[in-house]
Amino acid sequence: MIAIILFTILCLLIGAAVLFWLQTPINAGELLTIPLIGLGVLGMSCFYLSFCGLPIRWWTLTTLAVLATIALSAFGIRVRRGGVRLPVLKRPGKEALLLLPGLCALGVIGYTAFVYRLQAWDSFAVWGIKAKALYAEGLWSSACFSDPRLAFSHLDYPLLFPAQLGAMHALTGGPETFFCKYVCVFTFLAGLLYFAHSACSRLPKSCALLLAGAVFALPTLIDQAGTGYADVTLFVFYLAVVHQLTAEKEGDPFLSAILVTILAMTKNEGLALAAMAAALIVVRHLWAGEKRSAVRFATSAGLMLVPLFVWKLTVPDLHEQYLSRILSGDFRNGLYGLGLITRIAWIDVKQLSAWGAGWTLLPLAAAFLLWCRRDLSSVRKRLILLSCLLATQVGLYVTVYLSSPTALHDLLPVTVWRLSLHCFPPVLYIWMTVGQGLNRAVDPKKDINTVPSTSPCALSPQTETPE
Amino acid sequence: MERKRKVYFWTCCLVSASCILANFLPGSRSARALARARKLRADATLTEMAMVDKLFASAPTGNVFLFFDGLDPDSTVDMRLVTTLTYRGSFTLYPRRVFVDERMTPILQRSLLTERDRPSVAWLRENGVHYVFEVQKRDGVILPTRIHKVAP
Repeated sequence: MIAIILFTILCLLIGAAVLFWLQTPINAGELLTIPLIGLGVLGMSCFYLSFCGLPIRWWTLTTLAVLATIALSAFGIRVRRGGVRLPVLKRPGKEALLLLPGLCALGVIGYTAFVYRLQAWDSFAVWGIKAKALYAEGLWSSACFSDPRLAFSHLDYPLLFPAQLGAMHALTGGPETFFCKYVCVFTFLAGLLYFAHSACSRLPKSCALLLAGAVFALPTLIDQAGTGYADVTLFVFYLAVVHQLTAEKEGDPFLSAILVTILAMTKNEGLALAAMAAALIVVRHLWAGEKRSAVRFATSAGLMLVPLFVWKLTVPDLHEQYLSRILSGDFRNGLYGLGLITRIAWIDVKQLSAWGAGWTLLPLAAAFLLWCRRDLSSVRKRLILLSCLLATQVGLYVTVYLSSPTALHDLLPVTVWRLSLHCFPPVLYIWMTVGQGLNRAVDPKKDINTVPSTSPCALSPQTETPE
Repeated sequence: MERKRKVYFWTCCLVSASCILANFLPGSRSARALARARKLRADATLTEMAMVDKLFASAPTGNVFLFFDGLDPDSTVDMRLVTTLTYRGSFTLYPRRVFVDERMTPILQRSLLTERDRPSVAWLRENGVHYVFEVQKRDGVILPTRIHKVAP
């Protein structure tokens, strides 16, 4: 239990330190992003520690906590001197009750996560064993990242999730399968809070919180969040990156770079998604005429990803090798595969018992676009960016399936739900951006969900000139 | 314009409601997850993984070699047994190791079940193997796993 409390405090400390240093001035709503940023940066830091040959132990984690505390204290001094003003916190209104479905889902996930432990296949065969290896042996001396006989665990998979599990092992005093599942519960909660903030910055509060609560109560998400797979981790960090890509106020390029790096470290799919999102973030900065921000973002993301690529170069690539297959034009499943992929993906997304009517948001957003295209001119660029992201992502996944060496009728039924989960964040943001455009068209002067802010530059959707 | 915004708002509410209500549909993914968890909680020792963990608990020291005899590489059930024992065993024992082959090849090749001999004692000793688990299938029936201790 103490490990759970310490893990939470550690994530909050790190998240607050990163947010306060990078995102000032901030408003009260942005405080909700602290847990997710903290969780991601903790995983990233543990990977870097391991990369530098340092073990993931209580004392290295304590060092991280001390560094975060020093950063926060320095920030406190700046606040005292009057250089920065803190956001004014307000009691949550009755609308906060709309998050209840998501919180009920959190209860179910808490139960399933701790009961399942690490029993689901990928949770032990891929992530659990890597977490043990990172904790017990470190990145460079473990057979888990070099021995072909352990290739079933995908030697070269990015290590954010195992690093987070490894941090939990360090806090509990050794590898175990019960308390480490708290990482899954915390990821879900942090994702819910982040998305609630993100939705509130785009839509009227009641609509935003209802949507956030409902998205995090989706049966597919509840089913997977407790298993110990990394797909929900990827989902929440992808949400964060897409938020950065399409936020009203262009965030600090360094914070965007951190989130893109975290996404790249989550899974192999995350690496591809991070590359696509990074390219679009650069395009957005250039569109806005901010060359310096684009350079800052690209440089910092590139530098932060160097350790990941250096490590990946040392690991034998024995599995899948999709990139080389795609580059050599080895599309062995051909047109027959395309039909099968479409059919099985369609069966998955139209399942009411899995997605509700969640996927109807995409055709509905398209319908609104046609109906109100003149009113949506203020968000046109962002809608183009999101559509590009979704189209590239779907195109990439289809290409990977077409070049897969595994028989598609075996592969698709067990993987398609994950990929539809990965594709859902851009759909959500397309829908919310349409709503934001409509709100702005109706009342361009009125601020959506005016969050009490002490700074003139705080988030205010109407302060930006229409794109 | 206000009408369009209202239509948007109500559409959003309907879709959100459908996402929440989907959990109460028969056979929903969340209900299945909950049912699985309840079943697990009722008797956690009877799950496939718990039984594999128990089997590997009988090897308190050293590495383990898994020897499969009579298993059919074309049978899904047999291949699942191989993968379950190998993957779960590797996880449970780590950093101790589970070997299934003398060669440094990635596992799960057909040759693993078709073209193989017992490993030599010298190889077992060299690789720190203290126990050999022999999984046999005779007349379509998987026999209880035989555990051999490797003489030091």
